Amino acid sequence: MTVLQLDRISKQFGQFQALNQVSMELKQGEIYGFIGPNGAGKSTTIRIILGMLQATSGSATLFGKDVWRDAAEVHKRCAYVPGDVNVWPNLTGGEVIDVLLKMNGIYDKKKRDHWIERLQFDPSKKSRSYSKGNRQKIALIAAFASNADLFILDEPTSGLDPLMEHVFQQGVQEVKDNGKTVLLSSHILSEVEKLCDRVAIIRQGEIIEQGSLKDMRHLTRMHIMVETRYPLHELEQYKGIYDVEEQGNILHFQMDAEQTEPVMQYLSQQGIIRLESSPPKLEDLFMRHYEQKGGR
Amino acid sequence: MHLFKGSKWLLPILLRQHRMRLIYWLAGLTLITVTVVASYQSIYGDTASREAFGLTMENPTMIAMLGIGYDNYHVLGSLFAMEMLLFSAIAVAMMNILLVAKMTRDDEEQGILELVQARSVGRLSYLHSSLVVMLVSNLLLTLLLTIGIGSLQIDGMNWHGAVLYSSLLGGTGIFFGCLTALFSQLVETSRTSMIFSFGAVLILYLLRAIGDVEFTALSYISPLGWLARAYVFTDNDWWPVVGLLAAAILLTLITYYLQSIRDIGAGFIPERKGRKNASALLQTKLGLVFHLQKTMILSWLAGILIMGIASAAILPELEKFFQDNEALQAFLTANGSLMEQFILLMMSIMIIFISAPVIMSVLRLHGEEKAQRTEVIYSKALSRAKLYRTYTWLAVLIACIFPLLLACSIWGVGFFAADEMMAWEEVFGAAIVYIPALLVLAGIALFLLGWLPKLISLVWLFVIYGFVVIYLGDLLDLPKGIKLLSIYEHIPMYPSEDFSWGVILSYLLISALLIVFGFVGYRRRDMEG
Ligand SMILES: Nc1ncnc2c1ncn2[C@@H]1O[C@H](COP(=O)(O)OP(=O)(O)OP(=O)(O)O)[C@@H](O)[C@H]1O
Ligand SMILES: [Mg+2]
Repeated sequence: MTVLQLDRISKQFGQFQALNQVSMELKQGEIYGFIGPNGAGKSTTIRIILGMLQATSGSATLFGKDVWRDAAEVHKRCAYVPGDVNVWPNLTGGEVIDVLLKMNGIYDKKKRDHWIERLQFDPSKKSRSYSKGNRQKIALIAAFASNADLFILDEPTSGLDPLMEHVFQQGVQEVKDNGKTVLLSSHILSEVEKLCDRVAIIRQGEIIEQGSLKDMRHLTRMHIMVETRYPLHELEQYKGIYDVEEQGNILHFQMDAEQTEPVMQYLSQQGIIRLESSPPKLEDLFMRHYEQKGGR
Repeated sequence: MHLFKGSKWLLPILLRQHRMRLIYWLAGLTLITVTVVASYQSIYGDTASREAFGLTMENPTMIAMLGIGYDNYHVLGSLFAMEMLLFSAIAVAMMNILLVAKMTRDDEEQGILELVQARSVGRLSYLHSSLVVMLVSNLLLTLLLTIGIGSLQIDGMNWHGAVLYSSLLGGTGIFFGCLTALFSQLVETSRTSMIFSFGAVLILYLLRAIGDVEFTALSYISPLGWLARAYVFTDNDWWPVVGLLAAAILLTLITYYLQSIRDIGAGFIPERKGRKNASALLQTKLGLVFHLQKTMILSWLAGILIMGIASAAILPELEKFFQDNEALQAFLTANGSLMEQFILLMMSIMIIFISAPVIMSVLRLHGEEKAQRTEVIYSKALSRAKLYRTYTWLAVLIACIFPLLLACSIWGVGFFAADEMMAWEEVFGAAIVYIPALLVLAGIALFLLGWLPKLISLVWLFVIYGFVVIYLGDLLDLPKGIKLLSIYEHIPMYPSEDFSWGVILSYLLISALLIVFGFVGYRRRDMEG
């Protein structure tokens, strides 16, 4: 079932084109990663999905309903955590969590207390005195304690310590196990890699890559470390070989995934003693896209 | 309706968030009003004193400042309304502007609205709840004032008048609250929204002043001009209240419409684009500190100059009135001309307005600290001493330059407008004597910044108290000792009083000490934020 559908969404701020024909589709039960450099348009996309910005063109639906017109209705099934959380300074954290939950209807008080405990949050302090991470916890608790079907998270861990980040990742996993959907925008690529089923990469307002991490990996380079009986003089003549580094007999290099077959044949002819390959990290994928000038 | 969904959860939250602010304002306004009402009976108990008061009220200065005179001087309530209604209305307008700007644009800038809007609430709920809080506050104010005035059971101040007087103030509050909500839609920051709103108060006040003295039509354009035309406690006309509420409803509808179609964080009047590189001015310390507050400083300067020019512009009216009125002539020549008295009175009031930018420039250092921006600056190897010094310099510069510019505007315009203007030495002297008082205020603010940063807002009490003493001191017949608690009161009203080096030098010494001690505290204490 489709939870979220963006169809050729564009957004213009005056003369500035912030989004250009962005399309994406989230299926129920998946965790969808959304990555891209600063100012690429992630938050703008998310604000359009939440009906806070009106798209200049294109259509966007949540649960089959229009995101702008039916915002109040579809938000009943959504939970949102922004990267920078600010709340009413004179209220306590606990009060704010309650209000946020109440606005979406009835909620489970036990679940709220459970999450307050898990995130080690002190709900009795005035909001003005919380640190950045603690303010973020307010939104996280209000999200995890709700019974939303779609979780929209925009850099939700930018203020959390590693321990809390771990709790957060568990939380997201549990949400997924309950058949809910998650849209996760993040700069922490290891987090995206660990959690997400599919990923979209956005740059300068355009989606430049979209798909499952497994598919994407095919398109990218593997790290190879190899030790052979005979020297590998001809290696660099093969297509799709990069960054060769020699350490005595041992060679480190990167290889385009499509070139695996011919290269392996050559290596085995030279007598392999040791061979290690590691899959490409999301970071490599990311770097490759970002470093390119002018897009694909 | 789905546009307003969730308002019932937001309303109590906003009330809780702003309750202390509201309590202070409501208590302060009610207290001052009731004190004045109570004192009226003793001061204007007999007919003769009322007639004397009526006579002074007919003079164009008073009309320009306080609104048209009523003919019914024998009714005590009428006198009271003449003196108190307009300025109370401005105070109520200020309360509403600050409150609404905070609840609407400021909360949106902070990102609170974003968090709320992501829940299942209507697009107008936050705005709607904010306006309801504003409405409730003004209704409460109306109720408190009605009870306060009515229950004193003073002859000439009946319940009907009390209800109308309070409703006029409540109505003004609602009007300016709605106007601020509209400006908050149009512009992108709460600061700009407040500047627009305060600007509107100033313009409407001046329109009314000119209208009341010269072109009556202008007074009907300005809602502040409507107030006096209710003739509270005599005719008791209700149309101004109806007018204020009707205007407020219209403003609200436009505001709701604009909010419902716009993006979050966006406005309709684009903010100016910033420069890419820091200009040469910005790269000096004083330049940076000035730049941060340029809008605040320049808008205050504009407001003060406009007031100066406007008050000088009515000097010819004053002369004409003076010539026509022989009784008054005899009465006044004893202690200086009417013009001199008027200019000195204006000067003492304008100095209080100038106190605001002086104090705000110091408060800004505290604001930057709370917003944790000083951390960035300190980590750039700028010592606390330098930052403190730079802010002090700016406050001192404002305190010295503003009075001079004010004197320029009054004397310059007066010279051309009036037949016989005061000598320029006297006008400038009248302004310069207040500079030490402004420096003491800056010193108090800096001292609080150094030692009691949480209580720094207390410095405003000195200003408010100074205003109360000037505006109501004679009226309330405050004893000399109590008046002298105001720091402005020790300053000689040069040239009608003798210039005193003693006062000036001791003020300068006090302010220097405060600044130095403030620095000692500032260097020792932890940064907030
Ligand atoms: N209200 C606005 N008016 C004008 N331009 C805007 C507005 N909001 C965003 N932009 C611009 O749109 C672009 C996309 O911004 P957005 O906040 O979506 O980036 P992002 O991908 O979330 O970046 P980050 O990783 O830094 O959070 C940026 O260049 C930003 O300056
Ligand atoms: Mg962002």
